[in-house]
Amino acid sequence: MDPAVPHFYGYEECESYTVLDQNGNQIMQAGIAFDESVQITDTNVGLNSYNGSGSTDGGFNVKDMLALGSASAAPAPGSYAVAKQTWTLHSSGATVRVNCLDFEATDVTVTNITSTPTVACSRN
Amino acid sequence: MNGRKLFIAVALLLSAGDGHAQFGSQVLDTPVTDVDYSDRTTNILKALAQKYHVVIGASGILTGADNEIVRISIAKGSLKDVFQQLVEKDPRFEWHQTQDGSIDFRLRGKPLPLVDVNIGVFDIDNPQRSDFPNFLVQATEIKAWQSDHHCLIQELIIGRIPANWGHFSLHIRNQPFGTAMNQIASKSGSYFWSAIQYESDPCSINVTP
Repeated sequence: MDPAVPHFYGYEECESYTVLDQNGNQIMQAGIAFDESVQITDTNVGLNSYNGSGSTDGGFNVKDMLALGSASAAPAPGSYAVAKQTWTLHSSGATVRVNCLDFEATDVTVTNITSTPTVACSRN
Repeated sequence: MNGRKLFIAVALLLSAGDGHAQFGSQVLDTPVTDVDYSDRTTNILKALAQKYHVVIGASGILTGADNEIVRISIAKGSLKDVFQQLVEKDPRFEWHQTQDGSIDFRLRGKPLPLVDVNIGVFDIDNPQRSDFPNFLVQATEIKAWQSDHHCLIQELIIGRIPANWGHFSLHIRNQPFGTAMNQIASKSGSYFWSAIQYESDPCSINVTP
């Protein structure tokens, strides 16, 4: 939990990505920077799209936090947000991963659509 | 925790610069070129606010699914043209420029009364991002409105916990909640805010700075 947030009601799931080269071998390098765009395509709780960034850590992985909640109350049952998440390599802008994210009140589902990035994301 | 993989390929991209928020009537004359968005209206507004450094607030009562995708396209024009086309394509919204120069988008016929609640006196120095919206809800009039309407005013956080914003102060004198949000959006550099009542029973409002 982020120490800057004294209370957080909801959930936060950590995703960890390894970075591969074109031959499928892991790139053993820390500090490779990535940009993240999360487009909220459907929600019933007034949420908006957001951007982020990340980089490979000492273990050569990129960590991503997927949270839904607030400092005052957990998401009400039935709350949801569907998003398309696009990761790009910061240095070139190359798209390296596209996910559909289905944030429900108590859990998030990640579906890899990198091979079909134009498909519409929907609730599972 | 799941192990997932990123594949590196080839391409290029863009970036945006920093600066201060634009205010005043001339904001609407800001020239725009190659505007092309296909997205939910509030997503488009957020992107416009951050690209052109114009403070935009969006508010209203919107229950149920919000998944309407709007397509706007302007080869050459002004921000005013963009806003006009946006409400033509998504007539759920109407807009006007406020006295402080920011842009106020509201759901037509479904305004959120909270936005117009007048705050008499409110001062805070160095508000913390993680304490939003609690510090603002402590304003006497907002607290009273919340109590009278039995309304939960919260910021639902999605994705990453937001990083703290820079140091700034807020001094409100006889100004509505919406103006306070405009100031926060301007001073924090977020440029966009939204306040959407998404549930009626119990009343729940999601406010994002």
